[in-house]
Amino acid sequence: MKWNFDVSTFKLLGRELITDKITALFELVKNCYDANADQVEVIYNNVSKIDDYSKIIIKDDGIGMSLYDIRYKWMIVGTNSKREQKISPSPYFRKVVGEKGVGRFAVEKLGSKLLIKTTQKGTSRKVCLELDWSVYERMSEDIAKNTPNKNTKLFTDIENDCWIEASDFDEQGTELIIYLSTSDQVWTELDINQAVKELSKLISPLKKSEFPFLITVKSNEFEQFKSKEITNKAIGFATEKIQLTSDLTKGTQETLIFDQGQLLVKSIELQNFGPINFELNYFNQDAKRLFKSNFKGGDIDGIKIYRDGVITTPFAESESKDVRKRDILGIDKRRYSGFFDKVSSQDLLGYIEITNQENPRIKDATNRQDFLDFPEYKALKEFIIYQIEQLEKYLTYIKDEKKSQVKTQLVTAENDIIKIERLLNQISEKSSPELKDDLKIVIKGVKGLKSSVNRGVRQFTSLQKEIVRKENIFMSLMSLQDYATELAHVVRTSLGKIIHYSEFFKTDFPNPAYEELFLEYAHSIFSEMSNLDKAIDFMLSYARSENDFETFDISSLIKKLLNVSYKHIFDKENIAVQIIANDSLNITHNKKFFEDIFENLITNSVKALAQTKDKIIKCSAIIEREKFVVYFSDNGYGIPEESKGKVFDIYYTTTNNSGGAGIGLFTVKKRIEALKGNIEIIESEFYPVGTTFKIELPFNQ
Amino acid sequence: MKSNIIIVVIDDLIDERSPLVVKLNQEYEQVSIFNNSVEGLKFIKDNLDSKTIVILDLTLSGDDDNGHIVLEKIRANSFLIPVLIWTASDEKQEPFADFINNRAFAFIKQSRPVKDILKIVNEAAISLETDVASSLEDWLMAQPQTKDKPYMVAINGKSFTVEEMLNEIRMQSLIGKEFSYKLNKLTIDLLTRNKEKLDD
Repeated sequence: MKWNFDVSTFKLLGRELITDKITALFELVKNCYDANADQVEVIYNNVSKIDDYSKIIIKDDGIGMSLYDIRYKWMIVGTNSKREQKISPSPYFRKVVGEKGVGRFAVEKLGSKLLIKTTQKGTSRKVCLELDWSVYERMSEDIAKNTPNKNTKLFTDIENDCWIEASDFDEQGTELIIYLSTSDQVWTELDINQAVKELSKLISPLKKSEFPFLITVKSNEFEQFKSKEITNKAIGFATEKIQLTSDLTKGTQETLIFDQGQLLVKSIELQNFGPINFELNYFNQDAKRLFKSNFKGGDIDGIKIYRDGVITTPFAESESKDVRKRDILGIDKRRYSGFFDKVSSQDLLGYIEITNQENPRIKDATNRQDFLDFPEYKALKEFIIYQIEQLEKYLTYIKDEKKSQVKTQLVTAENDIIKIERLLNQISEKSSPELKDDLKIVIKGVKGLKSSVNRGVRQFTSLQKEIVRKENIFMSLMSLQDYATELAHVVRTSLGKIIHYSEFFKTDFPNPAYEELFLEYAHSIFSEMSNLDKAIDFMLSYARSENDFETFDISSLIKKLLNVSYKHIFDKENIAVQIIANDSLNITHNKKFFEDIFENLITNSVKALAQTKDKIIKCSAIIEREKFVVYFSDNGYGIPEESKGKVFDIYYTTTNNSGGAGIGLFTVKKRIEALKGNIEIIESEFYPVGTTFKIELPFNQ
Repeated sequence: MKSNIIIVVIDDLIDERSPLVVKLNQEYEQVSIFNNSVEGLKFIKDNLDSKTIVILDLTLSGDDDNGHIVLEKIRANSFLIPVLIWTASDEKQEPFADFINNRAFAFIKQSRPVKDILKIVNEAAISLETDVASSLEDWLMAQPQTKDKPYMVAINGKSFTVEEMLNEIRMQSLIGKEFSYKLNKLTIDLLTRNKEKLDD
């Protein structure tokens, strides 16, 4: 008994692996590259509307195939001939890029019939093969209708026409003629444009090859593609251009480092992902404009990875109608947490060069949409993000320098004008009456100039403040992703419990054995619903918060809360309050959030102090090593050691019975984190009893 | 009649009052709850001679090992214990390759109705009762064995004490599986040639 395949295998191999026709074209052009072609022509003939002449021709001058090659390599599904030979024949020695041997099935994506004509140098035979996919399609439809029997023809039974034509002795190359016959095989001008764009990215601009690879696209229908040569132009106009290389013999990798106002290149050990060369170009707004007007086909669209001089498949996939570009390296994802000082993939054009030999663990995933998630790939991503972060630090530094420069310049200008005014007055005093009159006009003008510059300085300063304020507001709101995740988690946890409690009523009520349990569950359902309510309020408070921001001093707020707002509670509970808050920190934020933080801490402390004799609540707000630190302590019950890691979890509570909802410290932590701060439990100031919370807030508020 | 399979629950947010535990107690004699993995693992290890099913929370809080690691630790002792992984978090973000390799019995979202969770536990129970390896383990456990004259089990010319063979079966090693298979064959052979009968 022998193995056999039915026709759907064929479809599976081609269609499932190659998602769209542009990728299919890409694969075929890659094959030309691997066949040592110097030139490839991609000819579109009557492709915008299907007629008898609609076809795509891919013609190269590579080494071609013999009849043997056709029969024992091309016609064998999934051949590994490419996997064995990693390098194309001499003298080109190109690293083979068509990996999985299914490129030939890509043609099925493009058209219904394929005619291959291929010839090698040193023979006057041209081998021709015709594959008609529509025959296979009809067969698979027949099989679907009838049950298979011994007369059923399978995929491997079909005979495909093959014959020999004459060719020149010195001629070599392969011509693929793909006939289009169905409406989904049509190419619009936009599609061809997209293909041209993608093909131009095929070759790395960094690689200067002894044997360059030239692609020409020709279309008989669209003027702009009548005969278009595709090249990947070298990058100009970048605001910042960084080149990092690696040295195998020395075992070093270059990396960026921002140090004291300078962006430096440093050599470190080779990383686990292997040596890479990296060119990074950053474009500011002006540079982008220049680039776009000079490179009409070009996009500034992030960082791509090239292997052996050719683009890797995750970056080659394109959705031609959907302009969404996949941010595989995760550059834009970082911007969710504060994006004023971060660059996006629309500001960068970068090329990472790897090789099959030295970077074997950077492997394209089978679905070609990403790389396999090996630790080496993760490390590569981190390395790249690190380079971008150094660049960002540098750009921020420059921006700040410029700001202070401008301000200094303006102030200097103001001072200069005052000097001029004084000088003019001195001259005026010693002048003749006629000159005095003339000078009066000049002095008036100078006065006007002085007030303009003064206005400029004041406006500049207030504009700065406004920008900083807006940036802070934006940055301190919880990032959108975190928000969505938190909400989902909170809701699901509560809902899960409510589902189980109410289900129990449904299945087991009534049952006298469980009477106590039913009461308890009813109570729990109620408190979970309340939790949900509170959690949603908390989330909504973020949705609305940008309108409620104001600038205030934290120390003053603390003093007000402890001395005034909660005085009645402290008096009632007989709690002595100690406050140390002499340093001030002005922040622009939602005052209510802050009040919530302290409300929670105070409420928890009051509960913890319930059984204590001499109750104390102490709050210190001080500046400690460039951070604003608040210590909040009580000498109450304290938090058991094993719970210290859990108190900030969303539903942790030890005070459930006294009506505590359990969400308090969770919200406190989230609010503080949204300010880029930190809260933790440290050893109690009143050791061995009590609790101390330490809250740290960074200064750039 | 309640089942005597022990249900081990390792979850830090569950106690005897939770609806799931109450329902489990209706059908199973013993439901043991552990709020941390260390105690849970110790119990499992100490009770390898009983039939157990483990319900394991994926996200034990604080410094405790997460569910992935706990599963691994359970498997270091036996592959015969069904482990039901359950979680409140988003299953789409969870790596699962190790669950398959460490043969987790099922993956359950905590928000599913108790009825559904119970159904899966019962399926695990049936699997445990009818599993050949488990039956074999039962039988071997029942064999008398002393230090001086250990009860021996022979396969492929090699001899194993009952204890050793038990371990091979629990770890589902090649020897363990081969022993199970050969014993089955022998049993079927004896039955079909009327040499033995399948009565109690």
